Amino acid sequence: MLQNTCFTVEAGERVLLRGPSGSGKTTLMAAISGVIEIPIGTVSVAGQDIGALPASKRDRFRADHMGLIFQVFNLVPWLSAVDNILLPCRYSKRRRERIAGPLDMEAHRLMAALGLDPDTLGASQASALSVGQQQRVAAARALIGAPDVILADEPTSALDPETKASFMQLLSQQAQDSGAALLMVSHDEGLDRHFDRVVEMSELSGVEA
Amino acid sequence: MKLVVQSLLNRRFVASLTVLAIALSVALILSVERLRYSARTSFANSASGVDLIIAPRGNDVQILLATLFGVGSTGTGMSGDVVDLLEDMPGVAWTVPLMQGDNHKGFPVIGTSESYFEHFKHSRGEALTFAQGTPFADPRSAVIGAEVAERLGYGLGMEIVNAHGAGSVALEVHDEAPFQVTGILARTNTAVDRMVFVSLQGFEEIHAEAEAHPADPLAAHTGEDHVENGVNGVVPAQVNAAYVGLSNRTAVLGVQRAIATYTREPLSAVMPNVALLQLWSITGTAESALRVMSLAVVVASMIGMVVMLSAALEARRREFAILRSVGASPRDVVLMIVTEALLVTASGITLGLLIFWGAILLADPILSTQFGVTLGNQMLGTSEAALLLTILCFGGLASLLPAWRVYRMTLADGLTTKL
Repeated sequence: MLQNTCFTVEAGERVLLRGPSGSGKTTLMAAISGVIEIPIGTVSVAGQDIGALPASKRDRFRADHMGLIFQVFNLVPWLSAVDNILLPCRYSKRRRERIAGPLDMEAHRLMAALGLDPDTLGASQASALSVGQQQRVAAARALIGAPDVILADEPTSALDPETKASFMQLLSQQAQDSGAALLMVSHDEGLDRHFDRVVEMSELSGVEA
Repeated sequence: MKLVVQSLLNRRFVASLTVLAIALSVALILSVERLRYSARTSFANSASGVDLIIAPRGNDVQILLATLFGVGSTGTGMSGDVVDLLEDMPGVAWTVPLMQGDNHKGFPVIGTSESYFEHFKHSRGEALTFAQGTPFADPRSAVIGAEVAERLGYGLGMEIVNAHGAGSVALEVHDEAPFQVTGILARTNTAVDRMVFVSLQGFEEIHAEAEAHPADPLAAHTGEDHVENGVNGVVPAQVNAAYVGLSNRTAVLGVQRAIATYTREPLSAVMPNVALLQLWSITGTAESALRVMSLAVVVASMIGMVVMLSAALEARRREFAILRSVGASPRDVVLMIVTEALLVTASGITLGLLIFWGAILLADPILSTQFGVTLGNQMLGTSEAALLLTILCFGGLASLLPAWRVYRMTLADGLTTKL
């Protein structure tokens, strides 16, 4: 479903892309998500050649089909947890329409599924949450409206080992439940068990770093 | 929109200071414009029904201010014969003699004949009307303007006492010679509202003693001959000025020439509209300075807003990157900044309007008492609305600078959130 010359992720597949820092993981993420200009025919997501889209269409496409999670600073600090989770729905009609029922309810459901109490934390400002809670809110945001693929750029690097494991567990589970492919880049060892497949960055030749 | 509001709320301290700065500048420029406009309309309305003012030779503007607005005085008097002479000139429809120099609690007192109420026109040809009562019934009658009646709470039948001099400080009170209010004029929103009118005879009588030793020994003084005739419009020996109405506008030059070449005493024939133009050319510089200043304040407040928006950009890089990652295009982000600017400007304008209206409510009574200038109860004129719209557009334009920066920033940053 997500591919370049030598690397393909099937729909619903969970893939860990592993490599040391500086090996171009973040650039790869930027290329896939369409934030940077890339040549035609290098990356396609859900059958769409990203490089062939003009910039504004790429933004729309990203909103419709992808959920992104970063290392840290995932949330808009002055928005509440629920408002942060619902941000993609502002920009994507497709994801809004994929949600049956009220948007707030879906945000609450995802929070609960990711181990956050929606009643106590839903209305609190993102800046008031702990780093672990913030990453879960970010995961809920990436998951909302069931995008085709979730791109995660070292989402666990700021978490302590126990939080890390439970976070990965929940993220992986939720991705599977929503039917989204999960592509995560990390230099972390020991996350393999949460994924269907592990690819080393060094094995990739078609990716320009 | 909701995002913009929340983002601004997050920076509510700086944002509200910016709104306040814009509000003050808006209130300032509106007040300056309104004051300027009101003063001009009020003066033009006061002057609109008189074709010529005849007075002892002097500065046109001074004569205009003294006679039509009761500000200052014409100084010396002129012979009453001049008024009779004027009446007989070809093209002259009517004359109204004026005596000045007294005040009632700061309001100028005008000695005149009944013809004043017949002939004086204001605000493009409207005649004076009486709200209550009648013109002079006897030499001790007084007619007061609407503002005088309202401020001092006077009604018909009240006895009033005038003082010598033009200011509100009563140097010499003519308490031996009270007048009785027999008429109150309807409001005109001109200087007439703050005038007290008494008959020529009455005005002259209270000065009979004082004028036993005339200030100008050369001035003809034969007042006693005329005192008995009084109310019936016979002109006393000496008056301060006279209004002239022409039956034929083209006669104005002939009358002016006759006055200029009048050999018995030096006189001026002032065309009110021409004198007003002179007055505006004098005050024009100050007006322009005031306008430029208030415009500068508006510009400064706009710069303040740009500073607020720009200063926050660095701190908000992360926020923009997050929005980009959830699908916002650089255009969306730019739109956010512009919307923020418009929202701040609009709030500033709204608050400024409130301040402006408050200021009008406070200042109107003072201005109309002191200067006879009414600010009007109009909430917002079309030119003022246009001015506000211009400010709003300017606010939007000013935001393009930070918006352009943020556009480049979001393009350069992409999804990089490491700071």
